Amino acid sequence: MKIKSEYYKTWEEYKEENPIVSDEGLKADKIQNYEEQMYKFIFSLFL
Amino acid sequence: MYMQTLSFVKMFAINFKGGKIMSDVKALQQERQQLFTDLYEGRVPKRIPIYYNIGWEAAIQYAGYDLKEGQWDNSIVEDVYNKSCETFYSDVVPVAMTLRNPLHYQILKSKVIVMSSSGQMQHPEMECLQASEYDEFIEDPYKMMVDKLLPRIYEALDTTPGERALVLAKAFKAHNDENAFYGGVIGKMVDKYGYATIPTHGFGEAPFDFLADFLRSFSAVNLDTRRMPDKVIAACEAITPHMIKLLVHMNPNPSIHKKGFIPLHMAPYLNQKQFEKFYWPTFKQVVEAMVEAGQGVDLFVEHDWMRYIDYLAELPGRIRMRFEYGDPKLVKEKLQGKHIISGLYPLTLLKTGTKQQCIDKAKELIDILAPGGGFMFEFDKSALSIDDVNVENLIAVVEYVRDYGVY
Repeated sequence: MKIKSEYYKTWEEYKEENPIVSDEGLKADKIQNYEEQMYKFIFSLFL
Repeated sequence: MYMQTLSFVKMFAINFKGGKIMSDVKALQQERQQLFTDLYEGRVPKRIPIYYNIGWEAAIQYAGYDLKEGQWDNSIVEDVYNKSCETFYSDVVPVAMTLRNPLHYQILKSKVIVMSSSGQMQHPEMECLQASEYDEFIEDPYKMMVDKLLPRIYEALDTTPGERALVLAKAFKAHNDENAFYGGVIGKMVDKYGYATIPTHGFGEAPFDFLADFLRSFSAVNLDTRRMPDKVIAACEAITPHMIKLLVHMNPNPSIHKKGFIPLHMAPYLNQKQFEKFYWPTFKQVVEAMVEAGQGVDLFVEHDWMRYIDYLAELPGRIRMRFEYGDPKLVKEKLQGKHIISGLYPLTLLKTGTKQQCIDKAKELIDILAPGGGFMFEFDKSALSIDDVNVENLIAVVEYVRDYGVY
């Protein structure tokens, strides 16, 4: 069961919109990690 | 076995006074950790694990600081933890990390989590999602929370897009910095005093509780179940994947030794039909997803769930259930051999009872709940204020459980 939101992007969706990024190195980890952290923070404000 | 355990604890205390001996602390930590490993894996531990902590606010007061000032002052945090660790026996750090650090709530000018005049963090009931807005919420809960709901409950976000972005960035940074700071202090306490650790691996709610808690309010959601039941069900279903994400998908390397924490609020206020229709289906989906992923589940079963004890018994996995109120014999009968039971010890007794009455209560609960394992000692709730308890009674009870609760 996956979430679907206009304001949340998976790494695959992000790459599609930003072809300059790649899976190499730490870019995926770093960029997606901020997406996850912000998502978690927003929900924490309703918990 | 009892004497060995007790003498070890005493030896640790003596060594600690004279300067800690690291190998003893490590050994104590391993012994404590093993208690939880055995408990979580379905074996009978050497003795009853004590999973007890007082609230952060109570710990500030116990350490002798003014609560309101102490909430803001990071320079006292280590001292606050040390004072409780040196006084209250527990197999885990005996002070709960604050769930409501005031810093980011202040930056956001929160209306839903506010500090009282005495320094306690409180949650006033608010209706932030309107009844007419269910469809929009169901369509994309996260988007609506960001766009419309956050500015209603956090006043500093009710401004221009530019300023809103700046405020949110500051709050996000403050939240993460404070968490890292407090986490670091707790790590120091674990190493210094040899505590077991049960890492928290996610925090979420039953979907119906999430809808009731900050969005519709407890009172409005009850009206909704009568006036627009289909919308309530659809909203719970829309929330469910988000709770599964928070409690499962965001946690790599799931383990039954880590806990995904879910406090349960509303079920005791619903009748059987409402419970079956609105509460249970989506909550069960969340728990099933956690168990299927191998994630530990940690439920705080608030108020009295005895009407629904059979539902809890049917949940998969080996779930830790901390009960606030209820019949310990019934809880034991229904959950024995499957889930892990804790709670049920009335914190109020520590304030109103004599030392002997408090110890007798601990013995009564242990004699019912401990045989065969699957039990850890915890009060029905944590002390929010140090005035909630008689400290001498608290010390007497946890030390009694440590010494009496040997298998």
